[in-house]
Order: sequence, then structure tokens, then C-alpha cells
Amino acid sequence: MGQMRKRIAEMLPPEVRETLASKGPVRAGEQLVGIAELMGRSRPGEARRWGLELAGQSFDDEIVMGCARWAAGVAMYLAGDMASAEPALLEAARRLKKVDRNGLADRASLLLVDLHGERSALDRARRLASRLHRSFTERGDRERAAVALANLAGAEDAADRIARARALWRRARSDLAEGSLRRLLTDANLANVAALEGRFHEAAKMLQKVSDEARSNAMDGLARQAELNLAEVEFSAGDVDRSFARWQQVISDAKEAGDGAVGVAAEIDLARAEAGIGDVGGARSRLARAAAAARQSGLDGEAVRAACQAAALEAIDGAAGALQRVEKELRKPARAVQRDLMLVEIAQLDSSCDPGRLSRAARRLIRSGHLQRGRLGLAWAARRSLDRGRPKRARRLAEEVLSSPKLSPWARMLAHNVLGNLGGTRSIRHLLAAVRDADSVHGRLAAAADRQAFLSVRGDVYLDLLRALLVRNRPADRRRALGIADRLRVGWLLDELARRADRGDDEQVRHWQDLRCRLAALLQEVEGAGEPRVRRAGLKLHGRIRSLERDVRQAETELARRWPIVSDGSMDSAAEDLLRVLPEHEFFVEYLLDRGNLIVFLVGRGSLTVRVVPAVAGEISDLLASVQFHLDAATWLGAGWGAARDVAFDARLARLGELLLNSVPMDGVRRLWIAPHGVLFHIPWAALNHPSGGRLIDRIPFTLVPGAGPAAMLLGQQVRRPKSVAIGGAGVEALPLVDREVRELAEITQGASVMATTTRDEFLQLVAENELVHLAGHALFLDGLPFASGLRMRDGYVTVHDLAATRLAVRYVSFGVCSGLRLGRDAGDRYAGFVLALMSGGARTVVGPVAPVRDDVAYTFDMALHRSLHDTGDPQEAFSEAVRAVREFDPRPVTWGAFHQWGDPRPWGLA
Amino acid sequence: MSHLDIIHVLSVLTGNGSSADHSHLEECASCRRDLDSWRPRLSDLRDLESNAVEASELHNLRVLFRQLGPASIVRSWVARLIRGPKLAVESVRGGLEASLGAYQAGPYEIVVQIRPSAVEGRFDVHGQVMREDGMVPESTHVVLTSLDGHVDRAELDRFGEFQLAAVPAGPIRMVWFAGDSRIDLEELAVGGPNEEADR
Repeated sequence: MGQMRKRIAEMLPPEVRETLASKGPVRAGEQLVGIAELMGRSRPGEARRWGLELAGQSFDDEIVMGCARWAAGVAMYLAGDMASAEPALLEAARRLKKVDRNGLADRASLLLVDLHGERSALDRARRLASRLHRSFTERGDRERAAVALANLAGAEDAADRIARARALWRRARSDLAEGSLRRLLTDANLANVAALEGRFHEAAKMLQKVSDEARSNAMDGLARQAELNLAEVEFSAGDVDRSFARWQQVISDAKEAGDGAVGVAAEIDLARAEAGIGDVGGARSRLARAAAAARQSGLDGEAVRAACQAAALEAIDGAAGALQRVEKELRKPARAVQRDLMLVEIAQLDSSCDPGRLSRAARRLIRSGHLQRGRLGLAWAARRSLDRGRPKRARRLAEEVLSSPKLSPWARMLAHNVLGNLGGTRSIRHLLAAVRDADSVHGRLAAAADRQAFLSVRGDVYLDLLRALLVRNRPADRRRALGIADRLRVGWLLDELARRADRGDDEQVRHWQDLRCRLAALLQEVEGAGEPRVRRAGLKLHGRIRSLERDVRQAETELARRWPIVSDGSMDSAAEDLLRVLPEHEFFVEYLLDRGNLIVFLVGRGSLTVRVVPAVAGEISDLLASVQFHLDAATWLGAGWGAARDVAFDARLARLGELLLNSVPMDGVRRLWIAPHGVLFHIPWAALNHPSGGRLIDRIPFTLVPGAGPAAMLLGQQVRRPKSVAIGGAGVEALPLVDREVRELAEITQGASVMATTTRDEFLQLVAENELVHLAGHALFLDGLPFASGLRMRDGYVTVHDLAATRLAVRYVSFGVCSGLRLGRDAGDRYAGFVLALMSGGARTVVGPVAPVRDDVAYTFDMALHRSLHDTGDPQEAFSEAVRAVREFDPRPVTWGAFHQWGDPRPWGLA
Repeated sequence: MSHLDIIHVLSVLTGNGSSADHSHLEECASCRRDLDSWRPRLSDLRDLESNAVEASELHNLRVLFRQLGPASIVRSWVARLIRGPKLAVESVRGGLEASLGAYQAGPYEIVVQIRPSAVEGRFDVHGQVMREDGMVPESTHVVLTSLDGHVDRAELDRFGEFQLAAVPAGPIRMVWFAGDSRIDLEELAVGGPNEEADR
């Protein structure tokens, strides 16, 4: 006894020693556990060290020994050291049972329910919780019986069985004393469930209440944990400012209190949020700091969580092998679930992942109760098996996924797409289902890796259906195929709308604006001073622009998730609408290059035909590469470089005309609405030779549109003269005609707002407030990074990102700048440029060059265009007149063919 | 009598031929002509070696020279960048990320455009070769090599145009072979100036 007292004296505070002397070992043991719990919640680092030491001590009295193990287990559990806590608690229960202290043994076992849940041993947790609940109830101890249920709820929650967890917590709550720690914990858990179910307001209110009550009861650790969850809820609800401030507050509070576990957890959560709003660099360095701090404090779980987050960021950035880099951290058996979850996350982005290994991991996840992630893993295993030419395995896995109840649309989309691509009588049905699921998934995926993966496969999901429909080729299939082509492209334009307008003033929007400004500033460095023949866009600079542009994109994806676009109705609507509104004698023709073939949709009033020209896509791409080379080079080389180059250019146009216009009727046709796609955007349509002779512009009025949907939309609306006009200029010394153009256009368009030297903000204001805007000046187009392309203003650039983010009043835009209507290939085979950003924002007509243009040529075009517009109010006539003026000035097609007109060409004032 | 294949011809030319090869050459006029036709090309290679070409690039050049076969180069030029008023650089309303170079080499004019490829970090090289009189040289090949071992070749079409896709960034060398003429364009930086130059 003397020895025991000596050891207790070393380990315990005086009040416990006093209890031991006066009231015996049971009361002293209970007090010891109470102290462990308090210490674990308020000073986890110290609690863990104390727990480890206590677990290694021997005592003569078996009850004290058992309680000491119990206290050690509690302290280590609360400090996050699950691996050390479990044996201590098991030993505690065994020792206390041995001395017939079954009540104490059961109480020590309560925490084991939680621990089993943490380790995904759900059945074990259920068996133990059930026994404990029965045992406490038989003793009349309703509160502890409720704790058994609450702890089981935690285990169910860890296995993603939310509904079951919620029911258990609710049941437990009614038997827990108000204001008690257990009641507060249960309330916090119910708040988390509410957040998971999207009831953010309710969750925030509950967590705030828990935090306040915990503070007033001196449970600061619990209060911090509640605030940590509250920050997460606020972030999910879109209140970024408030959530960031709260995370920072929790971090500083935890630091002051020495609460390493909550501090590190807050750092990791904040890093994830930073990555979510596009601050990937900040997130990376925060994760590195958090991982180091977690290791230093022995918080293995948090260290692994930080490593996994960092690996996911790498995978999102496109780096291969991210999983291998964290596998070492996840090798322990206790981390098996985490490893499998990580594998599913990264397999979505890294096509080198082995489908066999992935399916095994997915099945383990399903067995451990992670149903949704497990099924998603199986769906990806099906997809990767298909990619590797193993159709039987792919079919088996996809069918298994689809047979699961309550499947997420994301996993269902993948499984349907796999089965659709495997052929058979139900192929189109599966591909249709995949497209419907893609529409419903759009913008709603919470995990960044899922969103990134979705963006990379979505195009295929649409194109796979389009191909299958054209092979079957019934009239309804053709209508639907045109609708898919429209959705494929215009659906992507709609993405841009999601981020249009700076809604409110929060951290996320400000960060996004800051990134856009930094991008605009970087463009200045691309311009070569005095040597524009060779741009000074070195690799380093290119890398910086690409990296910054990626951050802008990430921020926009996150914004789109917060304010998702709801996709429109049926897949057939674009074609149906167009068939209804297309005027008599006008035709819509859409061109799509797909798997070596040229697909031509031809729509007249009430008729739709599709023609597939096999094996010409390669030739068209080569011809277009040459055409673009000539368009780009001719401006710099000038006319002194010989007629032989013009002959080459003309020969390309003749062949392109043969391939593209052969199936398009010309006789008796009043107008063509042309929807090009991909590389076809760069065709100098006006100069294209018709197979039966003449240039397209001389044969028939035409306009370019982004697709059937926008054409139908334009045709379905009234046309009217713009009510307000603005002329913006941003000239430099080398462009003497810009100032003159602005002056003379101001005279033509009397009453226009004129800004001879426009700033960034002023130009965005011009397009936000005026219905007709002309810009004369200088633009820089980046073919490899089209969203980063910019219109140069006095104080920087207005990029495509900026235009896509502005609420537009403008209906008619004319560009007196280089490449104003150029489109560059973007990620996922999308094309982007100023024109699409403007049209997706509501501009009805956009006119300008698709290539670099000389000062004198731009001046000639712009003056003729606006004179004619002013006189006739007819955009089609004005465009033709402007092209005619340039032809007189420089008759080479490489010069005048570079001008495009997009959108509505109908005379103003006519319906 | 079987003639010497290219391996044996090249062995003789590089001083490693066997006595049987030499004996055959003494008797066979056809193989001697073949051997002679290879001499100028080997001489070009030796010139390249003296210009401190990286081993990987030289290996690629050797392979290409063998693919192109023997030819006697009578005239050769080094392409020279054209500067001055022939380019209307000062009055264009903007720019592209692409670079454009115009070169003069004897009677030839060459335009080379380099722009970002669909493959991230790579560039497409498109160009045109013409004589000053507007004629296009017949049966012309262009060979592109870079320090990292990338090598590609293309034939010029009837308009003297060529395309080389997905060229890695960094310094490249291009050589055109037009009949008995050869044009060298050395140290062109794909993707703009390299890292060193950017600092």
C-alpha cells in the first residue's frame, strides 16, 4: 500500500490522493478518470504524455490499477492516440472485471465502442454497444446506457451510416442530462449531421449553442472543437469570410491553450478550404506546416490527413504517382480504410492506377460501411478496365455498381457510360442515362478531386452518346444528336455564367478577383519590347501564367460549385426550338470533327439531316493549321512576300470549301447560320471558296453562332437598335490610327460615351452599362491559355476571365484589336476567347478579326462597319460593307478573310 | 555477287571496314559509287561534331542521315534572320503567344512560326520555304533535332510548307535538304528564350 501511495503521489494531483486516503480506491479511480477527461479535452499534448506514463505504471491495488489504465486510455484517446488508447482500455476492463467491478469495467468499455468505430470495426462496435446498453439499463443507469448509444452513433457515423447515427444520437440525447458533456457532444454530433444533410443554418445555430454552453461550463476544448466544426459549416454555406476568421481564431486559441490536436486539425481544414477557393500555393505550405506540427505532437492521424490532402492537391494538379508518395504513411493496418479512400480519390485523376487493386480497395470500403466511396471506386475500376481493353471485367463491375441501392449520380454516370460504350441493344439507353446523370451532377460535387475528374470525363460522356445516336440515325436520334452537340459546347458556356457577376463581397470572390488582376498584370511581360516578331514569352513566364491561370480556374470551379447552374430541360430542346423558329429559306449548319470524320448537321425550317464525311478530319486539321499559319504570318510579313504565298492560302480555302460547303444548299437560301467547332473556328469563312465558284460572302449572307441553342435563342428574341453606344480606345504610339478611329467614330455615332484612353475598370464598366461597344487598340491572344488572353488597356489587361465575370448590358460588340474573335483550345477540348465569353453573357452580335490585324486594315474595317451600321441599322449589311472596304484596300483574302461576325445578323427593329 | 549494305559501307567510311569489304570495293564499281555518295554527308556529320553537338542529338542525326540516304550536297547556307522594313512589325494591333521568324538563306526565304501545341509544354512548328522568285524547291525534307533527343522530320508540300508537331521547349536545330542544297538554322529557341535568358 505504501508503494502504491508513493506512485499515485507521483502521478496524481493532491485531490485524488486525498480521495484515495479518505474514500477508497473506487472513488479515487473515478476521480482519476474525470481528471484524465478534463486534461484530454483542455491540454491534449500534456494528457497524452501523462497517459502514456500512467499506462506504464504498476499498482498493488487492482482497482486502482484498472482505473489508472482506464484514465490513461481516456487521456490518450482524447489526445488522438488511438493506437495506445485501445490496449489501455481493454486492459482496464479486464482488470476491473477480474475484481468483480463489472460496472466500472463497462464504463471503461464505453470508449471502446468509439474506438472500434474509428477502426471501421462496425460489427464489433455494435455488439459491444448493445451489451453495454443492456447492462446499464438493467442497473437503472439510463445516462450511461445513453452514452453507449451515443458512442455507437459515432461508430455508425464513421462508417457513413448517417441516418442510423442520427437516430441513435437523438435517442441518446433524451436520456442525457442537460448541460452535461455527453449531451453537448451529442448536440455537436447532431449539428454535424444537419450540416451533412445541407441544413447549414440549423447546424450553425446548434454548434454556436454548444460552443457557448461549453465555454460557460469551462469546457474550452469542447468549445474549440465545436467552433472548428462551425467554421466548416460556414464555409460549406458559402460564408467564406466568417469561416476563415473563425479558423484563424481557433488556431490562435488552441495555440494559447496548448491544444495541439485542435490547432492542427484547424490548420488542415483551413488548408483544404484555401485550396477550394483556389489558393493552392497557400494550402500547400499550410499543409506542410500542419504535417510537421502533427508529427511533433505525435498526432499520427492528423499527420496522415495532412499528407493525404497534399497528395490530393498534387493529383489535381496532374502529377502522377501522388498515391505512391503517401502510401508509406498509410501502410499501417490501422490506416487501411484511409489508404483505400485515398486510392479511390486519386484513381479518378491518375489513369495509371491498377483497376484490380482499385476494385479490391472499393470492396473493402463497402464492407467497412463506406458505401458511396466504395461504389465510386468500383465505377472507376470499371472505367479503367474498359480503358485497358478488358470489356468483360468492365461490364461486370459496372453492372455491380448499378445494382446498388441509393447510388450517387456521379458513380451512376460512370457505370452507365461504361455499359453504353460496351455496345449491345441497351447501349444508347445507358449513354442517355449517363448524360442525364452528368447534368444532375454538374457543379454539385463536394470533393475537389471528384470535381476535377468530372470535368475531365464529361466531354466524353456527351460525345459517346452523340456518336451512338448518329450510328442508329433515326429522325429523333438526329434531333437529339444536335441537342447533344449544343449541350456539349453551350453547356460549357453556361459554366461561365455560374461565375458571372461578383456576388457579394466575400473572401473567395476577393481572392478570385486578386488572382485575375495578377494574371492581367503578368500579360504585360509577354509582350516583347521592340521585337514583336519573336514574343518574349519564355518558358519561365509561360509557366507562371499557366500556374496562375490554373489557380484562377480552381477558384472559379469552387465559385461555380457554390452557385451552380441548373441545366435546362430536355436534350432535344435545342433542335426542336431551332426547327420551330428558323425562318423560311434560312439554314443552320453545324460542323463537328469527331474520330477522323466530319459530321455536318443541316437544319432547315422543319427538317434536319446529318451527313458524316468519313476520314477527312485529319486533312481538315492540316488545312486549318496552314490557314492559321498564313493568317497569323501575313500580317507581319506584309504584302512584299510574294503572291506565291497567297496562292497557297487560296488553294487551302478552295479545298476547305469543297469539304465543308458541298452539302450546303445555296440556291434560294437567304441566310446561313454556321456553327463551327474546334479548329474550324479559325476558318476565314468570308473568303471560303464555294465549290460552284465565288467566295462565301459573295454568294450568301451568313453569320457564325456557338450552336443550335444560341441560334434558336437569338431567333426567338426581338431585335432592336442599341440604346446606348460607347467607344473605347487604348492606343499606343505605334498605332497612330487608333486615336483617329475613336475621334471619327465618335462623330459618326453621335451621343456615344467616348474614352480615348480606357482603363481596365472603365472598359468593364462600358460593357456593363452600354448596349453597343467598340474597342480600338491592342490585344494579346494566348492560344495555349485562351482564358488568360487580354485586351490591353491603359493600366493593364482585361482578360477573358474578366469578361466572363462581368454582368453585361452590351448587345453588339466590335473589336478593332487583333484576334478579338479568335478562339483557343482550352482544357477538356473546350475552346475559349473573348467572343464566347461575351456571347455567353448576353451579347447578341460580336464582330472583329480572328487573327492579328494591321492598324490601317483595322481602321478601314471599323470605319466602314460603323458608318454602315449607323446608316442602315443592319449588322449583316454593315459586316459585308466593312469586308468590301478592306477588300478594296487590300484585295488579298488573307487580309479581309480574317474578319468574322458572330451572333445575330438581323436588321435592328425587325422581329 | 552481293553488294555491301549500308552498315558495311559506313564501316568502311569510318575506318572500321573489314578486309573483305575493301576487297569487294576494289572489284565493284557500283559499291564504290555508293561509298562516294556517302562521303559529303559524313563530312557534314563531322562538321556537326566539331560544333560540339550533344551526343544524343548527334545520335539522332546519324539515324536521320541514314534514313535520308546518301546525297551529294553541293551548296549549303546558314539561315540568317531578316530584320528591317520588310516586316510590318510596328503597326499591328496586338500579338500572339506564337513567335514568327523570317530567314534568308542563299536564294531561299524561310518563315518559321512556333506556337503552343495542344500538348502542354510542347510547341508546334509550322513554316514555309520558298525561293525568292516564288518557286517552291522540289522534294525538300526538313529535319528538326533538339538537345533532349527529340527528333522529327517532315516533307515540304507543293507550297513549300511543313508542320512539326509537339516539339519540346528549348533550343532546336533545323536542317532543310532541297536537292543538292542544304540550309542550316541553328539554335532557334522553341517556347521563347530559355530559362537562362529569362533571368
